[in-house]
Amino acid sequence: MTLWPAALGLNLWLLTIGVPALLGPRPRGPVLVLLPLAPLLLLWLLRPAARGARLVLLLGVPLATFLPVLDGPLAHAMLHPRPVVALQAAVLIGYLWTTSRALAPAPSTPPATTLPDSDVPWRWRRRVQIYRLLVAYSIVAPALLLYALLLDPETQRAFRLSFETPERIAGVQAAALSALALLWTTAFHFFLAGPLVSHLLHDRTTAAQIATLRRQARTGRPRPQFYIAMVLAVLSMAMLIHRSLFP
Amino acid sequence: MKSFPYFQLLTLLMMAGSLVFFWECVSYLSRRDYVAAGMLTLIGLFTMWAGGELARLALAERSA
Repeated sequence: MTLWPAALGLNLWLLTIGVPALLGPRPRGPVLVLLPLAPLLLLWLLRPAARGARLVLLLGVPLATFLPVLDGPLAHAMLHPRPVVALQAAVLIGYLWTTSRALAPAPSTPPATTLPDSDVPWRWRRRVQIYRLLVAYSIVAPALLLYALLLDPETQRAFRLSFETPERIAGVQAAALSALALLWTTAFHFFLAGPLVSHLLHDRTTAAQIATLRRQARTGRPRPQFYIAMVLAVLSMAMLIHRSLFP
Repeated sequence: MKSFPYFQLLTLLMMAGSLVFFWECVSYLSRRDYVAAGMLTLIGLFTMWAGGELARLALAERSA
């Protein structure tokens, strides 16, 4: 179903660029070229299975929507009041959610029937609990980081003491927020989604690694990395001792 | 007869040792000796790396 992603994508574009471009100063140069890019990229929704559709729809559309208002005449704060920014955030989340659902491949197996709780083996229930915990963790951990960065009174006081003007504080907060988003996305991709995908593929990579590990273990000797680490540790200790003796 | 888990014991020792180095690093930081603290961090990381390598062997030995 591509109606919702298309509607939300267009709404996001209208809120972010369309209305400010109508009400504000006329954009010029590269911004003018970027203006119609997001609606054009939304055409990929017609072919969700096409190569690169995920990249274009999940990354390209939000980037093409927000890049023109990063700087220049359309970036003026008057054109982006707080309620509109909150609405933009909600529409962006809705767009990403519905697009992800539209891009997900259709299940090839028939719909599963629900078993009564008493018939579900304990290990399956434990697995479902782990998945639920992961969902909760994916919501709570970023929310906590956001609170610590944007709302915590101690952090706000530290910002006020370190940076004088509200503009600089806002700039530092925006940069820190971007770094936080990047950090969380990377951690989510490699440490949460990665192991889950690997598990869905029957842990073939892990099984191959364990087989290699067993072959190595039969020799009873550690890998060269162990010796490298030990040599580096001993060298660092020697340097530390030398520094203490001859400051 | 089950053999003595040397690799597990050594892994534990290495990991505990790396924690000691990190603890020392914090104490050097409180004394504002940043160079020594950095060197101790490196020592802790290298010890942890070596412990990790031994842990791989211990795991393989256990599941063999």
